[in-house]
Amino acid sequence: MATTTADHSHHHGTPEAGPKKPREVDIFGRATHGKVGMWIYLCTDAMTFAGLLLGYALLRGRTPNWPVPANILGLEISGIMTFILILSSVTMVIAQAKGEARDRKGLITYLAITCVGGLAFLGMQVYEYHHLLNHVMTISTINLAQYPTLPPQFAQSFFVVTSFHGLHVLSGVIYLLIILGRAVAGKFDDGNCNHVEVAGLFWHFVDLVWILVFTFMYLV
Amino acid sequence: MLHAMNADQKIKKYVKVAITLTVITFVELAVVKFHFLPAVLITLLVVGLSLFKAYTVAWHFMHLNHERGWTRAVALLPLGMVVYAGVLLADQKFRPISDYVGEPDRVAHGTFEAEHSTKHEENKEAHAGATEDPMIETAGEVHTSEPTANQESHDVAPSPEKSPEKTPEASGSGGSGADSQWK
Repeated sequence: MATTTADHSHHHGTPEAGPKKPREVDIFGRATHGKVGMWIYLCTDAMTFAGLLLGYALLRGRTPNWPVPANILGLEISGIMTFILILSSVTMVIAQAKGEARDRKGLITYLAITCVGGLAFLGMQVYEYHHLLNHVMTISTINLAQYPTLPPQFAQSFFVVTSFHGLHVLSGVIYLLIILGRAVAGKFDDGNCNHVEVAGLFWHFVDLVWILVFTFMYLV
Repeated sequence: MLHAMNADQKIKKYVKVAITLTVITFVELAVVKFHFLPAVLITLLVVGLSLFKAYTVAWHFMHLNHERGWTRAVALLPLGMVVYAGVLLADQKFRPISDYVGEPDRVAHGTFEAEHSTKHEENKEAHAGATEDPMIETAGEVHTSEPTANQESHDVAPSPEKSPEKTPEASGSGGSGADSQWK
């Protein structure tokens, strides 16, 4: 583990400490401390999301008149949002591959595209919320004239879960912008992209969770 | 990681994975949109495909395929929630309805709305001035005032101080007055 720590802490100044150098294998394999830390965080965050989705399922199971979500929410916008997040996940791994190949320009380009993808997702979520808040429901009220049987729990659970995810996307974009700034400053020119990879883990997790949120709150 | 492959090979693989994910998403959307399968099958299919997508993202994009030892184990820990979810959902599904506190009350008021719409006026008079449950009063008010105002800007129509009272009420334990607003 000592070797791993050393790699991690001084890699910026020393080109020879690139990812090609094999790390000491310990109980976490060759993963750096940063990566293990991120995985542990993501593990707890996954349980938070699982708790929210489980609460949603239990609430839905006991609430009369629960609608087919697609009829209320529509699938067009959320489908495109899903597509955008998947694409931004790909550009994220491509950015990492470029960075590890010491291609600074490629790293910057694909990181920037990833950030734009995240911002596009947020923009579409704002648009979706705007539509829902004005025409369908708020977190505490329902447009009864058009949706006379819609239970308020539908609105409450929808906004709680999707906004919680949206906050993750926002955090991810800020995180990636910081990594982008470091890339522009040439911090990853030695090909050691551990920080890019750790940020990527968070970003892919946000994508992964959206896949599940999209399924449980929009599709089924 | 992925030392064996050069950047271009990796990128090719990532693009393939992304195409797979996109195709699956389109299949899911098509299945839900045109529902040419029984509802149960649609749910099972869509949930199954989504879990496969989630696994694919973790395995290829989050590089779990290259992790070893406890890193992989930590990543799999949240799957414990599946067991937890199974227990709770099974409890809710199979426990007799009468075991739930307040449940018979809500079931009994399942036809409340129809009842409410005919008796509405007299109810309102009867309640006026009496020391009634405030829930029922507000529900009556909202019921009359909302439908028209609602159409334009429903989010201002019900006054905000009512909402917090409604939330616990609506979530189960009985008050039929609040139910009528939302149903």
